[in-house]
Amino acid sequence: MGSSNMMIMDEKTCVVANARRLLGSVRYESCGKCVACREGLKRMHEIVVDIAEGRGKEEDLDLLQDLAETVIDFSLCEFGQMVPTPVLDNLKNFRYEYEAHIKEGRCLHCKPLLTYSIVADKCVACGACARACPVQAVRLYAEISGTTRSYINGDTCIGCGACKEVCRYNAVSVRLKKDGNL
Amino acid sequence: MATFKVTIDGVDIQAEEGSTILEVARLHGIDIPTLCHHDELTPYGACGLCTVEVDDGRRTKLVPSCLHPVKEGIKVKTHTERVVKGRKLILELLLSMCPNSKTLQDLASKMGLEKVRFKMEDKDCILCGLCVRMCEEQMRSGAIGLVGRGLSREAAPFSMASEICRNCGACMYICPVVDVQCRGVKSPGELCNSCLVLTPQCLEDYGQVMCSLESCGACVRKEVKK
Repeated sequence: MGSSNMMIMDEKTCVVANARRLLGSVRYESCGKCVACREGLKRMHEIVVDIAEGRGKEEDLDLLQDLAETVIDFSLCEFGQMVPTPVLDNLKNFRYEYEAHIKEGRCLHCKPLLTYSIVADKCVACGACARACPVQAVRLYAEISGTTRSYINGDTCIGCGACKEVCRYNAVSVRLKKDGNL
Repeated sequence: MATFKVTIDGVDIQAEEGSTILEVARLHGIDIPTLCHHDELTPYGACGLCTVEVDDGRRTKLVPSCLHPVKEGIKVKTHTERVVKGRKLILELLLSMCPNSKTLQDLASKMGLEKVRFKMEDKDCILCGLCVRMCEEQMRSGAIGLVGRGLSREAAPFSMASEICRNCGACMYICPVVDVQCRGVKSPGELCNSCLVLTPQCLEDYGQVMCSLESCGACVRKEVKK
């Protein structure tokens, strides 16, 4: 990753989220002397954040590629020459994941693109999800009809997926915000 | 003094040892754009606009021409596709920081840049370091420096009121982005003239222009018409 580290990730890791995290921390390491590295890394981070949060545009991928190449070519030291390489490799090998974020809003891992909800028929109101939720976004509600079931508050939910992991009845469903499909 | 044979844009030149590619190119009328460079100050290499492609026989690399010394047999290309594309992108990055600077807008027009694809800010400093070098080398004060690192870097008198600053105004004079904005033609025959430089403060304080730049007094121009 540019710092002699080796990171091992499985297929469930979102490359866009990973690039966002990498650029987010590394842009503060720049010494700030040359414009290409200092401003280029800042803008690369902005673009990747937009893509990760579902605001990406078609032109963003070419701009990201041009920015990465310019930072490498126009930096004075090896820092700027090294840091954009993971992003370039991402665009070469995992371009479809970036495109899926932009065109379909599709990612199983980028939380802002997903909504979690309870499937009423399968919920037995055991309360495991409510206990597992770290932000108390899941509550048990008694409906007018007399049945009790869980309910997820979409505004509070941070998309961690803990409720889905603890539910033994497959009552938590995950959908894409953009088109409602998975 | 030893000379080296270098080739710039296909032109064979005998260059003096110790000179930079930019110096040699400009001496022979080859135009390389710059921003953070001034002939009377030491080169810094912050802006990256002077970057050129150098083939030293083994490989091709991109280097800042204001800093890179000439070596025997190098072949320099000043306007390849890779270089021109990068210069335009750097200008986009600069304009997204300081869109209202006349110097940056002029450079953009010269390079054919029409659109900036980044979120616009409105800063008043591009961290080119000209003010720092001006204060240190020409005015011999050293009252300001570039402090901080990365995104929090700024040109400042080291976060306290400076005792050695003489209020000469040289830093403002040399700054490429602290420009007055163009207000357009007010009435027929009357130009805006906002970018005419004001009387430097050193003239009022010391009775003479204090820096060695353009000591013919070219920096002393008419007062801005309000």
